Amino acid sequence: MLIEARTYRHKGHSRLDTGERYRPAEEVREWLERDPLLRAAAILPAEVAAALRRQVDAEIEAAVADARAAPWPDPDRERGASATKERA
Amino acid sequence: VRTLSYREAVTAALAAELESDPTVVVLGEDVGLGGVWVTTTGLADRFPGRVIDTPISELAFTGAAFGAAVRGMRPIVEIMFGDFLWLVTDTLVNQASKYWYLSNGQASVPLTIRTAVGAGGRFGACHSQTPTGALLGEPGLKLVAPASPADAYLLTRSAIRDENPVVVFEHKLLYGRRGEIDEEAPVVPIGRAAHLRRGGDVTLVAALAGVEKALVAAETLGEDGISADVIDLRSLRPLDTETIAESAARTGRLIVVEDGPPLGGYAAEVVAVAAEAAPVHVARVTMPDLPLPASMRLEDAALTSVEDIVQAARALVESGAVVG
Repeated sequence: MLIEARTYRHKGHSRLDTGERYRPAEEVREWLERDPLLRAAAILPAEVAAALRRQVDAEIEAAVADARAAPWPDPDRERGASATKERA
Repeated sequence: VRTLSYREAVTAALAAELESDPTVVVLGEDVGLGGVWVTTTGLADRFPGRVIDTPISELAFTGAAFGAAVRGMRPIVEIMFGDFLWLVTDTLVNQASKYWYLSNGQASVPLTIRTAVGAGGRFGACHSQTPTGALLGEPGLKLVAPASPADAYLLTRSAIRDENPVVVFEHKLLYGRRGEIDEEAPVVPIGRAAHLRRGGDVTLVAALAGVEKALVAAETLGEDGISADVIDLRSLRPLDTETIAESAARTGRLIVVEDGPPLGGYAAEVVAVAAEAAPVHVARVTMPDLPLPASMRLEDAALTSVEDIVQAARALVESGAVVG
């Protein structure tokens, strides 16, 4: 099976390019309305879509909390690392 | 004489050359809005049609600039991050740097490429490099590296006026530094280093953000009774062999500071230049032989530091090794 998905960049490419500097605002708006996440949510039962959203939010928040709680890497230990993977 | 930031000095240099020469044009991503480094602010309004926003295809617009340069224009290309120089190496190395030779002198390539380089900005491994080493071995190219607002102004103007392709390496962490620039100063050819401090015990050579660190290290060493010569390279290609060789031969001890990997950089070339001229004890202060880590703690540890320079200089002096 081959899926060809025509995609569109929602946001700009840099801090200066807000996303509408090089594209018509109307075109950006049309694509935002076709956001596949919104369209998928629209065809799911409302409670399923809401539950999925809560689940994904929780996963992301847990990952952020894990990262915040993790110790900083130790420069002295990492300095001994190799830039290439050596064969064992 | 005006006091400007490093980034304002770049803008002032571009404005001065746009003003004085109608063949000068500026190309790059978002340059019409001032660019992500805020170095072309106001130029699109002041010089209509000559400051051109390009699509995100470095090879395409640098290739266009190469062609324009061969045909008599004097284009200035902004490559947003030095890391993207890899995308333009074909036109830069295989075409622009060799064209004068290949055409038997029919046309030179007065192309200037400006690019933001340097680690310490939390940009990760692919947006923090200073890709000077790979270009050091390319005949036909010139490479300049301003360490101060004064040089951001002067070296940029020298680069634009040069008849050959020149890459100007601008350091991200220096853009906010302020200093005096002299708009009346003559625009001189590329190739001279600057002797920033005189001392007889050890020579410290640096470029870009390393220059500040070398100057602070020299102060610290001075408190210990070790007097340091400090040289800002300014031009990485050609290297100012005369200034390097004179200082290293006089002090007999040479430390070169480079915020880049240890192999194949300008530090190695400076050491070679000095050693070919006279016996000298040498040490290089560089980053580890690794891609830049993303963690800010690891990034800070990877950068060269004042302490690294002080320790390297003390070790050379305390080893008691004397040459000549």
